[in-house]
Amino acid sequence: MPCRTGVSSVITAARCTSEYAQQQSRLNDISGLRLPPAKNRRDREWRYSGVIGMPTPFNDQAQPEQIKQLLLCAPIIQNACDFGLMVFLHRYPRTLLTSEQVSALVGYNLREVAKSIDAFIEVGLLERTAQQSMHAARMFVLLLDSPQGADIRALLELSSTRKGRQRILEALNTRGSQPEATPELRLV
Amino acid sequence: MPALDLVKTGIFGLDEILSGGIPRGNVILLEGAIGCGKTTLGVEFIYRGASQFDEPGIIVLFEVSPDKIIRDAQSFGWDLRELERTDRVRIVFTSRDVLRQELQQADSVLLEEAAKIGARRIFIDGAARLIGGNGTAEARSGFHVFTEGLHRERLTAVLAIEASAYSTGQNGTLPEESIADTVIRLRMEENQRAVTRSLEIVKSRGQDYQMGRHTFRISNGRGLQVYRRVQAPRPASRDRAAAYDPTTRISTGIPGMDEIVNGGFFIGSTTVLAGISGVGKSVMGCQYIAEGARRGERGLMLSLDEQVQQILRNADSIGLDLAREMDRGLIRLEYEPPQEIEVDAHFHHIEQLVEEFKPKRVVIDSLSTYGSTLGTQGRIFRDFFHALVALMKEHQIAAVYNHENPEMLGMASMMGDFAMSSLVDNIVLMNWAELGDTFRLGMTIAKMRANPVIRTTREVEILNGQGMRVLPRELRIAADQHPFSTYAGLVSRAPERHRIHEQSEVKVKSLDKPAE
Repeated sequence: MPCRTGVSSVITAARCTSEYAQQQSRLNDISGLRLPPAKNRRDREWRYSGVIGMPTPFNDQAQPEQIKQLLLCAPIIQNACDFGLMVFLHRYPRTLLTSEQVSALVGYNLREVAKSIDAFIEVGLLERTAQQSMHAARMFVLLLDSPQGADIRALLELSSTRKGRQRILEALNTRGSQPEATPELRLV
Repeated sequence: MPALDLVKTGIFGLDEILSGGIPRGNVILLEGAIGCGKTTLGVEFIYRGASQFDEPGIIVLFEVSPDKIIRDAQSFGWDLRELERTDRVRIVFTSRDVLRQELQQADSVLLEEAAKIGARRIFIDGAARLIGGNGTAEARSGFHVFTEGLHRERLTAVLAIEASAYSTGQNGTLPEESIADTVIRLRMEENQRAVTRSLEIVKSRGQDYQMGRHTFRISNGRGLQVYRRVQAPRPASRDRAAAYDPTTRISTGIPGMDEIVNGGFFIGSTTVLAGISGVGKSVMGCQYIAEGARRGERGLMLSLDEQVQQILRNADSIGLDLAREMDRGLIRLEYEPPQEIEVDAHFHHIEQLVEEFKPKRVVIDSLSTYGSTLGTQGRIFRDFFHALVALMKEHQIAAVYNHENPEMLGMASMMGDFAMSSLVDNIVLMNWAELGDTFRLGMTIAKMRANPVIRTTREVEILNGQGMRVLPRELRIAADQHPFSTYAGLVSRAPERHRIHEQSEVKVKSLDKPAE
């Protein structure tokens, strides 16, 4: 199981970014489609925003093996809760909410969500304001510009359709993980 | 007295209505039903502040996702993502409970976020039910505390609130309106089968503003465009008032007509040319504009009836090359379809044309089309015409308005249902007179303010390649057609020859009769 903390994740991310590019090319060849190369950073971000992007044949035709490869390149996503939280934060990249509210919106229990949040913070994907005695709510800011963010974007693009999300969740489910860390699967 | 610190909205036309902007720190309540444009206005307020006035801002959302706001903004050409990247805009998703608490705390996370980017503006979308309750004293107190939090941070806040979210008071107002500093109400008003958007400044503490409902549009690539209502008073230009010239005349461009109008129309005068369709009103308009171009004067023709190409073709048939004058920049032809004219936007368009092109002559074709579109019985058409006349006079433009009189033969009234002849300086009547078996065209100067007028009907002819000319009264244009001077009642439905002329003809005939 890939480790999602520390130096190894940075190395994995760097390797995976170039691996992803190769993967993308292979997928295009397999599907018979060729996405035009992104013209600039903005174009790339729009394409990989995953939420605004229209469903693409790539989203729906990605095979389980390809999805596993993507997950391999995004080791931070270990389970369905991680994935659900990431999709939620991608839709609401700057959010001022209590943990209970985040948990309710993501659809998993508070403990699972808290664990996912902590993991994201540790690898630099998420910033959170400090706990204040007078404030239950904290500001969560998603940082997709970080090195780990590049790998996440590919996964988020896939998750822009229901079928894509379903396949990711299936892949996460069949991946096999520590029994206590696998929350009940829910389609986000 | 210190000058008021006004926050410019940057929204087209809105700052003008607000006399320059909104006092800084005001809490602005933006109310309206679903689909009125509240979110668009609020987002544009933030976008303009960040991109044009170096005032970063925060957009607070409770229900809509940020990517939809960004996507919709993109359709107007607003790159919110770029502004986020450069820390000039923050889009924060939160809940009403959280926001309520935040604004009551001195160490608020949200306000800290605002301070980080130096935010001066904040837009809260969907502020309804922010404080709970339904107009109760407790609810009002809660809203007051909420607005105090915004005041404390010197943020100029726009709160979008759905008008139907609260039951309104007996006078149709929301309870929060008394606490907010500025209240802007957006409406979508039905006008027969059309729908028009309007904006009204209901109140704004500490400043002057233009009252009433002003039309606005939401256009792709541009955002909101607000058009001051046509009835709203406009500040007169002192420079233009000082340059007022009451005596100079300009030629009509119609051979034979200048003699019967004392040499021409005064500059700044208003002339109505009334007659049924086909009498040559548009021909006269083309000749009038062409004469100006010949003298180096700019002329503008605004038509609601004919497209520009048709006007050019018609002018060409009477030997006028208006296209060449357009290329020289001396003539401008504009066509606007009359269906569903929004009068405020239309007047603004004319105002812009006059300001930019600075014509000396204007032809509007036609008043009757405005009347049929806007209706002649209500205030709208009358106010619009008032404003148009005032605009032309202020710019010292000799304006000619074509008006279709529905009477084919004779004229019982000068302007029919319009009843605005008192606003007009000169009235020229064009009518058919059936004489014998022929329809012949007549022109009568019915009114000419501050000028002696000879109200005799003169014959007019329009020839291919030559255009219109007014004939001498005694001229006989054909052997079997008597000159107009021998007729009476030419403007009535039953003209007849003068008896003296009939009797002299009988005498001539009897002298010719061979002796038996």
